Amino acid sequence: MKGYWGRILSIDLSDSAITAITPDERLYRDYIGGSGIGARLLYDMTGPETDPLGPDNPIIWMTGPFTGTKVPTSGRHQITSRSPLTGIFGESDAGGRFGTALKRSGWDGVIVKGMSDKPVIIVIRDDKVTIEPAGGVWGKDTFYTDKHMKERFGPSCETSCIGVAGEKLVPISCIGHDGENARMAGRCGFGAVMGSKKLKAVAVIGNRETEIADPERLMAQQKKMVPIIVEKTKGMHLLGTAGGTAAAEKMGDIPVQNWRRGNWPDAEKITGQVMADTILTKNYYCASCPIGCGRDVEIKNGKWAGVKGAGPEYETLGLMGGSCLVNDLEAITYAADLCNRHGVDTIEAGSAVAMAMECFEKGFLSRDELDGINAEWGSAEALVALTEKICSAEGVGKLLGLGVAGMARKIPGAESFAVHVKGLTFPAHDPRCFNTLALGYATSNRGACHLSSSAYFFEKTAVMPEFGYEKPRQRYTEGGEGLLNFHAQNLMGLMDSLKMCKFTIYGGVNVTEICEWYEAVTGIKTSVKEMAETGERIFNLKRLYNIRLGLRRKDDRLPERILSTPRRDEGTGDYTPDLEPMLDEYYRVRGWDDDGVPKPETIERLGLS
Amino acid sequence: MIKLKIRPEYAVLYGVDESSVLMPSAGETIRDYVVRSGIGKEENILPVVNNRAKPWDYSFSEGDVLEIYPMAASG
Repeated sequence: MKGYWGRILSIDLSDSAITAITPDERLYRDYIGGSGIGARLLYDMTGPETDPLGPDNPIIWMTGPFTGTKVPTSGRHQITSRSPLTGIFGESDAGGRFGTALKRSGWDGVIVKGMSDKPVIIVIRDDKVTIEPAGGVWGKDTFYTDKHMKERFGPSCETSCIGVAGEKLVPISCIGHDGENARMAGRCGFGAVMGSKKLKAVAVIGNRETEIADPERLMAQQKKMVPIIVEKTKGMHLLGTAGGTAAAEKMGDIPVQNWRRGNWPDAEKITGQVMADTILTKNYYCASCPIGCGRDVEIKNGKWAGVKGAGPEYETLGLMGGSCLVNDLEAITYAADLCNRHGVDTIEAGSAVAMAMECFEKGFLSRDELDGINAEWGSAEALVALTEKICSAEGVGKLLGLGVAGMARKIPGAESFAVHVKGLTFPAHDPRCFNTLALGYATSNRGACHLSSSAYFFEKTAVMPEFGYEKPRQRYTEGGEGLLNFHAQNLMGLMDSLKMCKFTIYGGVNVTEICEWYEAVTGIKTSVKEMAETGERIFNLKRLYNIRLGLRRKDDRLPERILSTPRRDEGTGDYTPDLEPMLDEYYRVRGWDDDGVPKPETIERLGLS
Repeated sequence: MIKLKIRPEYAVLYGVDESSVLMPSAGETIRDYVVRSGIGKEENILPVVNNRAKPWDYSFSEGDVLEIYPMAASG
């Protein structure tokens, strides 16, 4: 079996045991890698009784067969654990260079369980694996930690690390990679999982290449597809994900004022174009990526001077900008930089600030309760001040750091405008804009997630000809949301397991190319049908994880604000999603019962018995 | 009369010169206009009329303002 090392590193921080696991080849065949194997390991290693912040909850870094190869955009890895933010299945994907370094160290992945008494780092130098005192990096930010590791272990060292927020167990904390270039595994609160184990960082130095089954075939595929990907994604190269900000406002996609409104002309002030004209210094490329959507920015002067590193992504601009009505690009960049340094999810942080602003407006939180911060809509100063509080876990930051679902539990009356699914807040795409997003958010296994389905890609420009979607679907088409989400979720789970960036879909990559690459890398003959079924197996396994925790149809919900608040603007009309018929169709297509539980025959067919 | 505006980023990305592009006509759909004008591919365009995104089968009325946005992916 090519494309893998066939071994996974297992480290128990409670007793410092370091072992190598050599899984059966069936695990790789059935679950591929990345998200799939991560989910399988988590399912097998935990149960309903597992405390997300306890020693029994593992945190799993997994690469895929594509990681470390020349498959375009394959420099990615997956982190899986039970989420301390939501309490359910959790996973987060990141680009950058860590995944490639991990694969090149000779391991397909790393499982860390247990809990150390003192702050530690894990150092992986090919076969030499050590647990060392964290020393001077404990208490430091992610940028410093990454730089320190490179100075200590050499420039090829790549680090997966937490900032101070993770050390302080902030529920919306996350895991950083690539230092100031900040490729974050943002969602599900995994910074706190590492913090609970007193694990500051995993540092990897790898110099090996996995064997590819058919390098010539892979090279030929790469030569064919890379120019197409580059041409089709040149907007992302030029303007980054932020390039879609103005268009998103015109469509009614971007959140405005905590999801109350559908238009916000000030979006023009925070676009990728404005970034390119003002603070952009250069593009940033993840490993093996021909797109280069990452932004490097620098703010040299003015109130928010001092930022040098990753510029804000669309999601950050949507939540810290549109949702808070903050139209100051440099202030948003400053707040995002704080999050990157401290290791905090910008989506959750922006949402928490927007919710605090609405609480302030409605009198649910007073200025005193907000530590004297005047949290008025549109206040850049309030955005930054509240973000600082979240990052340092001080004062009202402890409340906001719970995320919007946690805030709603603490603030009576606030649930009606807490925008989340299963405890995870919405990314910056409005399900009143794309019909399929509503269902995608409601049924995503980690909570509200645009990328676990990405079905809205196929209501914009993307196609899936292998599954009958020859042209993009009109975004307000009624009916068929269940089938589209079924195919899209299966495909996204597959890509998260192989490890490749979903932006390749915008670049014209379809399941046929994915099958070609899989065969070239692994030497395993496959088909579109088989790959789709593998994606289906992976999605169902995650569903079964949550079913085991007691989740059912009642949890496949959308927040009141989305279901009952028409925005009355021309971009979206009065549209609000009618979720129940979508769920009926979706469950039927999935082979689940009316309560959202996979039927025995579905479980049997997918080999999940 | 229908006004046409092309976003600068669209012009840069796809090499379109606004001054040389055919104008839309009343009663014409956005889809038909894009084909007739050769302004670009449907997959690359977000058509915005009177400041809001419109479906491809929208028919222009007198006084409309059409803006051509790039359908840049936004994550």
